[in-house]
Amino acid sequence: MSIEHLEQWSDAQLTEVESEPYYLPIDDEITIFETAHREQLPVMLKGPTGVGKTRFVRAMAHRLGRPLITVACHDDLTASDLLGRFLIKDNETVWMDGPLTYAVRTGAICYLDEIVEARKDTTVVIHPLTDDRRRLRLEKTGEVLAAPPEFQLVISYNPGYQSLMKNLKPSTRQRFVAIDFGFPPPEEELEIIVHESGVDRETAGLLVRLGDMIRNLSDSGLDEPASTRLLVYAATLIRSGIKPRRACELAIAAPITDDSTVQEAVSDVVTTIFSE
Amino acid sequence: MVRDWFRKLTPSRKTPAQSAETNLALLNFTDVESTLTLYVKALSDDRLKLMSSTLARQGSYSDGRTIFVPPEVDLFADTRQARLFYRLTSAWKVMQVRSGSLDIERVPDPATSREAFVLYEILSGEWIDRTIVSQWPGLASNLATLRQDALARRSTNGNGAGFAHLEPLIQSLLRLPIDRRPRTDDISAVTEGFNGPNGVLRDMLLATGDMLHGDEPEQSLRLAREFARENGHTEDAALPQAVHYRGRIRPDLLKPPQIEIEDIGEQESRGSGHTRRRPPRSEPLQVESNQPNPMRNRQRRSPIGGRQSMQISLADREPTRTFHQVPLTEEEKKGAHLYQEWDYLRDMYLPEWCAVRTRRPKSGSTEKVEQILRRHAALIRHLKQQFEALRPERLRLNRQLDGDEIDLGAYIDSQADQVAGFSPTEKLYSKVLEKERNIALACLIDLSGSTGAWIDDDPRNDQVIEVTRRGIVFLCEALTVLDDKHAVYGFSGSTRKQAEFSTVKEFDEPYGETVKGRINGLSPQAYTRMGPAIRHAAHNLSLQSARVRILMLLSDGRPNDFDGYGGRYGVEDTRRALIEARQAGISTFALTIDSEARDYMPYMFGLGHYLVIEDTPALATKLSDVYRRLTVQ
Repeated sequence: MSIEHLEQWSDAQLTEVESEPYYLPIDDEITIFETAHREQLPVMLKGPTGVGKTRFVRAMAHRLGRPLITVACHDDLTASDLLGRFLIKDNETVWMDGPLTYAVRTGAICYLDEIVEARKDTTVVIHPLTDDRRRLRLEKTGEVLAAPPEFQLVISYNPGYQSLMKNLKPSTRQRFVAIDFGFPPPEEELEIIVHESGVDRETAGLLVRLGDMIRNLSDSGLDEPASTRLLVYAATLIRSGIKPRRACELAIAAPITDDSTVQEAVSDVVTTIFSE
Repeated sequence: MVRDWFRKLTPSRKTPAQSAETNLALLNFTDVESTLTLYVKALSDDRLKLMSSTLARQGSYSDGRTIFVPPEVDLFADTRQARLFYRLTSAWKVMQVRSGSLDIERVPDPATSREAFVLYEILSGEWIDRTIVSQWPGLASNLATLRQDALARRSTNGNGAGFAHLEPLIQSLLRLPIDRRPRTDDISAVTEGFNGPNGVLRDMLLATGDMLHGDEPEQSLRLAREFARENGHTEDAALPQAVHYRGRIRPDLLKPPQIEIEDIGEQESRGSGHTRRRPPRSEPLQVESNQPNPMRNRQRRSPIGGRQSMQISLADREPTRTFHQVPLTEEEKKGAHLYQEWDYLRDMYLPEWCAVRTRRPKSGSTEKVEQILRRHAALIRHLKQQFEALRPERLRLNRQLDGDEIDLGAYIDSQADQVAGFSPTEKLYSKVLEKERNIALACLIDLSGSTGAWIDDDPRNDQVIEVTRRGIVFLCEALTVLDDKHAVYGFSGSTRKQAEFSTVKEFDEPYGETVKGRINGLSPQAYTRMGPAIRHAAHNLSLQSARVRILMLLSDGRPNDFDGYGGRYGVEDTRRALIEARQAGISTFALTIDSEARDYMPYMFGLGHYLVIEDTPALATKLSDVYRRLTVQ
């Protein structure tokens, strides 16, 4: 497939993960993923936003030496967007593979990010790929593709406080080996912040403490708990010279809630940790 | 800036009446309550609650579970400083509890040695100050300023009585720097002017150096015992004036630590440090729905983890139900919907155990509802606007790469382009995006007697039931712009023979005068037997044809009924009723104003499937907010 065609995947992105992405293993997730890949089992990464699900997939693609195709799912994503479609070209029609089909053909890892955002009728096209058939049927071309052993389907799923209209159907979720992603333990979270932002260890330690405190408020009206990613963002701002309090306001307090009371409380917590 | 306000500080007395004369600003606890509650929750890992108490006018105190702060602060020239004082005194109390300084075995018994107790209060207080500086460095400069303030108030307010000999120690300690270990010259500087005999004060301060910057709260106890000289004059002596932000230690309120029973089946190893921390929100209890065999559920790991253990006192484990364990008589069953109940002690269902009696409350005056509509007209308009955004779109998308029909216009354009020598577009299709909501909502309201309580037990506030009423009106009004089917039910009752279920609005009933009249008539009743109410509401919901069925519970406390349906038993049955509902394809969500909800809500509803509302009046709008969030497409 030419690059020209790839550009038409508005929702997908093909990467050969060349340099090794930084990923700090927390538990046995690497072994599990490798085993699943070897045994040709699809994987579901479950957890809140910003805890390293996407980073993990990239690291694994690199480790396993497979190209990675990432599809950011959204509610207009149709089955054709995944499978492919006929395009009209110079008075004839040309079939163009979608990202999923392309991944099956080439034995890539296909990562459907935030799968619940996709429409239900879209989600079902992955079903035959996720059981022992491992086949993809293209109705429009009449092809049935058998997935090579290297092909792997990975989805991510955030089971947090969200719309009931978007819950993942049991018939879909039960097709995956699920790896739970929570927040990393404090020492690991500190390492991650230091590595990703280049901030000093002391500041990183304070940010970890701050993150923990804010996460205590999660059943009081936060949309999502403060993620490791937000802590890294705050750390990055601090490292580049923004005052810590201001950096935390910008990167943590404001993004996680619109509720003024909660935001005020979060600011108070920030001022408890940082003096300026 | 902080220095500026320190300069403005003037010593004051404590009665609000006098504050007007001395130009001091008065800040009421209620003005900071909602933020401060969240603040304490964040700092204490949700282990401590916050309340105001008139007894705390003499100094904040804690019983190890709740922090009591004064109902108002009027020590400062402006409310910003008062706000800061509230924040600091709360943070200080949190650290006092967190650090173990209030553990019962650590606090010297004043009956044995009053002086050791006083010294412990002083020394552990100094140690906590320094622990705060190292743990929460953001508070360091404010704390330093408050220490100076406390000192200033002391010097103008001579405290005599039995502990006068400790005053130099208190004041010298307050003068020491808090951000580093005191050096000998620091100590010489602060002891100037206190001419203690033989340099005792100096020796004491030298001895405290290690303790102040150590990790162990024990050290302050050791020193307190060492310094205490029993001379028999201090038994009835008045305690030295409290350092204002530290408040007091109240040994009479401290209890041995509560027995905490870990969640059944909780097998997560927490000590290893190598497992990921659970996100505060995770799955609904859906694992269960694929496990029809109830016996196996007990072995499964509950999806809630970490410190969401259930706190159950031992008394709860001994249900007082023995005399009730007889089936309902035919007489009692008559005219009622019969539901099973889960007996966790015997690990079995008790069939036909509860008689749910449905009734349609008489509709009467709609005065209260009309008043709500008048007073909150703007808010209701706003809610309706928000709900309008939820309206299903039915969109025809033209010029698509793919679709159900050929987009004739696009095709013609494309042909024209081609004739004109441009490259024709490939986007020749149109498609219709159909989105329908197809939702049925049952809103289940707890009408237990406790909803008659005034918010914060203050009769100037609304009763809880009034806030609930407002919430229901808001939700019903907002729902008028959508086609979502909805029912509103209330529940209460006493004993399993009389579980009352009132239909305020049935699914097929319009939201009109009759329904408004019933909402108007909602009033606190008796007990909270949640299980049967949930089962009946779920039953009604399952009769509705809808793609998404939602059961929302509004509650102000834990399940409770007076025939043994309390504590663990009620929680287990309610949890079971919710699992049954989820198995029937119903999504469940709870809103609660019970500040202790963390003890049982995660276990019953699952994390992320309930919301604790700290600020009761906010319940009214939160109900609509939550519904909107749950059903956004």
